[in-house]
Amino acid sequence: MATLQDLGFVLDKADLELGTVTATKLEGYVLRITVTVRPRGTTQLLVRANAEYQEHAVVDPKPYQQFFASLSKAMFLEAQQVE
Amino acid sequence: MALSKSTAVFLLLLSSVGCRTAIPKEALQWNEQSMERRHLQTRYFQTSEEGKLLSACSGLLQDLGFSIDETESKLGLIVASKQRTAVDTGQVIGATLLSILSGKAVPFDKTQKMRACIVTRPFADGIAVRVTFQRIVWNSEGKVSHLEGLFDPKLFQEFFAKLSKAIFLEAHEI
Repeated sequence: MATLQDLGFVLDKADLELGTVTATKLEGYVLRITVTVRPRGTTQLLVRANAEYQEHAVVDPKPYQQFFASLSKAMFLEAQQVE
Repeated sequence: MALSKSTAVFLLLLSSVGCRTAIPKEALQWNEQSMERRHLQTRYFQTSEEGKLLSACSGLLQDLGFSIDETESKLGLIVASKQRTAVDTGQVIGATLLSILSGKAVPFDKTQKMRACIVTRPFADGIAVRVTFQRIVWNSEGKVSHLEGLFDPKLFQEFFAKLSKAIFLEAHEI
């Protein structure tokens, strides 16, 4: 959730049980994203991101790579308790 | 190699479709602005009562004219929106003069929808509250004229000043 806010999104919905967060970014364009987090085994989490830009699904891998890099940064800050 | 007219038109259409669906490079990229925005949009309150803080946030949003759209208390999330007029007298006068001079209807901003999202989370020995805003503006022709996040520092200063006041009220039930 923090990562999406860092990237300029406003959250639309979140569901703790399903592990989903949906958010929208408006900066001259509409970018909508859903991120799903679920357990993978006992020590890992699986994170899936699914974005749509201006009514088209985003299929280019680069934006997703950028998102996961941003998520890693936010998790680092979380671990350091930096705001 | 010379292209036939139909091939050239097909390639032009294909390239324009590609341009429309390519997202901006910086859309999902962390940058210096990300940290600046985090500081702008977040305040820390020395309290352990996250539920009361969320309740105060919900009340403040409603005081500001928002309707609550979604909540997920266990995640500390509140999403709200409000629809208002976006008519600006200066812009209407300008558009009217322009349409008189040009003979064509010139659109002006008519309505806007503002969205807000609050996320609370434990931080150090208290709770961090982060608020984000964005708005959509439609013009007099019913088309979207602006899609933007709101990042004016004054907006956030005023919001958190009101929240501090509300928490004081919240802590001392009347």
